[in-house]
Amino acid sequence: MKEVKLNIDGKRVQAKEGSTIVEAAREAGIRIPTLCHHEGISPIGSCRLCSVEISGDGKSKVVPACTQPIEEGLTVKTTTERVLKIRRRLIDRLLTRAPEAQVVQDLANEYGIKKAKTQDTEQKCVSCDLCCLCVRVCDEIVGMKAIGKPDGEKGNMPFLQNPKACIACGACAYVCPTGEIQMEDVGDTRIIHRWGRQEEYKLKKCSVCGSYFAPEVQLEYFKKKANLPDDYFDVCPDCRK
Amino acid sequence: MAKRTPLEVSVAVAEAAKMADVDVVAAYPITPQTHIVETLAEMVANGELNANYIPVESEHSAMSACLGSSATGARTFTSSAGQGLELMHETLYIGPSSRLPMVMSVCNRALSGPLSVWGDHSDAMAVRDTGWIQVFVENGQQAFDHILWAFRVSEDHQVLFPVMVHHDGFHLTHVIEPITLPEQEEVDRFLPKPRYPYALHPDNPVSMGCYAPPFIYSEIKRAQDEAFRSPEVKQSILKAWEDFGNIFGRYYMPVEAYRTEGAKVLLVTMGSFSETAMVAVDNKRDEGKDVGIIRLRLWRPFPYEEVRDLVKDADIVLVLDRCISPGAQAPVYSEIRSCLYQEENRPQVFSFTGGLGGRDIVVDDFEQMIDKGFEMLQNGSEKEFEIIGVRE
Amino acid sequence: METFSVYVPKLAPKYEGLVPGHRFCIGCGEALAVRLASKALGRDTVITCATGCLEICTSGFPQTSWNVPWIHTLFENVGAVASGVESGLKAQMRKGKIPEKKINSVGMAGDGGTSDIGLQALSGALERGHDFLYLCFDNEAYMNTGVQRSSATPYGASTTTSPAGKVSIGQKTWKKNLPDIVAAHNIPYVATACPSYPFDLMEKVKKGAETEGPAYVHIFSPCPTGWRYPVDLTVRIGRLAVESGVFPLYEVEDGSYKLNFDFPKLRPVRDYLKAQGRFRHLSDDEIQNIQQRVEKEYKKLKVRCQET
Ligand SMILES: Cc1ncc(C[n+]2csc(CCOP(=O)(O)OP(=O)(O)O)c2C)c(N)n1
Ligand code: SF4
Ligand SMILES: [Mg+2]
Repeated sequence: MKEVKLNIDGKRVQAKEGSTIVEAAREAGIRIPTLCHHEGISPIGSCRLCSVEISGDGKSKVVPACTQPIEEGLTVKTTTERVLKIRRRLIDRLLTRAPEAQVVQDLANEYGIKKAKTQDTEQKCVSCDLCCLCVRVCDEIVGMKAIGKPDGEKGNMPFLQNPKACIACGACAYVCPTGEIQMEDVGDTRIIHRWGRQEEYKLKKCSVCGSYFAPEVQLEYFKKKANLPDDYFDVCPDCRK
Repeated sequence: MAKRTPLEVSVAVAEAAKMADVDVVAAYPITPQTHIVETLAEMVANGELNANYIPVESEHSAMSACLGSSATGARTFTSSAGQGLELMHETLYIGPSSRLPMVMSVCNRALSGPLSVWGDHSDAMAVRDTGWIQVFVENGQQAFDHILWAFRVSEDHQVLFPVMVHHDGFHLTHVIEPITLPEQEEVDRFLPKPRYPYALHPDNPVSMGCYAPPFIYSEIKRAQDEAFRSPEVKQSILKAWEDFGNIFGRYYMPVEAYRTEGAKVLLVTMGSFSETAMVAVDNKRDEGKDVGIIRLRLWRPFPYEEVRDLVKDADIVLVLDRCISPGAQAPVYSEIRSCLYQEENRPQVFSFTGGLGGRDIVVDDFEQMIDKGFEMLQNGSEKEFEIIGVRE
Repeated sequence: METFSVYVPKLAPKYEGLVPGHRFCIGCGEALAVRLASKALGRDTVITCATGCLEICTSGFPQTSWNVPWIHTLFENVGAVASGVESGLKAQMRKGKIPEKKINSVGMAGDGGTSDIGLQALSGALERGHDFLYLCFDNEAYMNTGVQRSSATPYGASTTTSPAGKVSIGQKTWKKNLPDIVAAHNIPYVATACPSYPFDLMEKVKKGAETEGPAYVHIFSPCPTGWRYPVDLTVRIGRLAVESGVFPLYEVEDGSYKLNFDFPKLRPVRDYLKAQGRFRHLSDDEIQNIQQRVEKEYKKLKVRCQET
């Protein structure tokens, strides 16, 4: 594959054609902060934390580095005053939106932001940063589209109703950057904590070893999808010969 | 202005490491090295030296930690002696083969058993072939000077070999001498900041210490040896001494001659006993005897040319070893002898061994050796070696 | 973490610190574990590696399988070399010689390089409190030199220096409990892991790297060559070891023990033992003996988890 040369923060960087600035920077050991970005999921550039300043032919502009493809000879600056100002404003807003989230607190520390200036009183949830990674992973990777998109107008929590199509696979919990979504197995039940709710899913017991190995909804879904015999998941993978 | 102060030589060595602004010291205490590392630990504790002092749990780990530290590009110092150097043995080969610069002061000590904390050169000779650049010094000032010199040589990109500075346990480490301490500014002028080209860092990942299958091991070892004995390394060694002299006013050479003009009998010594031997030479010269002394400073890479050149007019060469090689010839003697073997007019070479485990060699002893040399000049000798200063 | 089994693998870090083209045996559990660990560690890592399969399989001159900076010096000194790497980087950052940056100093060694010949260097490094992570890849013998016993070889295993014979059952001693010995140094983070539980392993390695001060992860690394089982069973063997209680997965954080996987009922150790050639000679009585020992140790661990 063709390699493209560019300059990031004064460092000469080489990366594969078609990479984004975020990817090229990571490859070169240069850190650009992101929240809504995950390397396994298509980028949408919504959190804007990855804003960087790029310049070619004398002009410069600010772009989200996670969606901006690299070009030969591009000059990228990741910490200009303009960029930092944008990030500070965003982090300030995030501190209001998701004050409890560790990532947000870490960012605030790093950018020297003490306390949010604005206060959102109707807030129901103190960790969700509205990055929508959960929505996207459930759609793009799992294929269930169980989680809805946020109501952008009001900036509300996206996911007010119980996600009915959920198969309790935990992909959303895995990608959630703030810890708002968490998952645990307790005895015969899988519990997913999200947006102040506790959603419970019954786990299947292995008929041989007796351990609980996967949520029943998930196994039903697989059986239907792959046309497996009804008793296929009566034993766990470790007991299957 | 440089100032002259009475200092214990160990303290002077620590002072030199401090003036070299070392980043990491990893060391394990052993007599007679203890005062060096205690002083360094104290300097770090008092904030006089901005370094990480790693109080490792053994010498094996001391050298291992030094390897790790040097590999990150940090200026690295350690010190050891005797059993400690032997415990390091396996680790000593890694620095030269991976081209890791660092400096170790070795406070030469005898090897057990029987246990002896006192000085001789057995430890140095046991690590002879590890691939380190090695020098012997004769007094406190030289010990101080050569720590600075060693960093300069070791970190030179033409060199990148670790350097050992040998100074005799107790005879040097524990004596107080007037030492001239330079100004920091002079030291900084002599010793540029290190810039190790292959440092372990995520910005430029390297793999260091890959194993070598038979198809390439010999090539790697040859390359290491060629580099070690290359003119570039020699040049760097000489240039560092020259620059040192120009800045500090004290000049050194790989082999130093003393009153060798017209000498038929030559003594060869290494380390602190050289100064005693020089007194004996003076006395004998006063008696009208044509005797001189050559003192080996650079022990590895071995200065063949210089030795041959200085020895060419002598008839008898008397080599003093402070180490025994059971069942074979003493190491310095055998080195000198083999160095001269191909010469057309090679002198007769005789081996004295003495000063083992802290046994002193006094002026009288050297005078007797010289007398023996002149006797040989007249009557030849049946024997090839003699152990001196031993009770029957 | 392991419950994320179905879709999450697609979301695992794509970064590879250890790249293909190495010389590990087919089905090597150690290779799998190192690959997962290096994904969790990411780019900003310097690895210090001991002699052993890991070094031999990844570094034959003039090639290397490492994308991260890597150093091998000797067999028994990883704790010390990693101490030097950590101190060298820290000192230079403090003195402004290199830019400040969080760089993981990580030591890697086999069970021999850790629990036998390298124990002193490891203990020293832990006690001195270096900010580093030590990963022990435990394949329960000196594999690189031809399957000789180590102190981590389990009771009853036949190795080339503890061979089973007419009057010997093979290894006569019980496996040295290294995680406990490490935990006795009162370091902030100790964990056990196994590549059959990849997300748990990555999580623990990441936690260990983020810990300030020494951290240690003991990674059970099934070895088809030395344990004599078919190469496609590595993941299963690891799961059997965990599910039978032979190798429980737990963490010790600031002295408090936590069992990461508990089972309503432990699988019989026979299932685990019988799958491997190194235990094939064991009589029913010996298997019963091992079963009792495993249960006793497991109970001890559970008590500790409750107590701390
Ligand atoms: C001082 C020293 N003693 C012995 C050896 C030989 N040796 C090299 S690797 C090894 C065994 C490695 O076993 P382990 O640490 O368990 O790693 P593994 O190969 O099993 O992954 C031995 C005995 C050596 N290299 N150095
Ligand atoms: S001997 Fe075992 S540990 Fe070593 S490479 Fe082969 S499978 Fe892996
Ligand atoms: Mg092993």
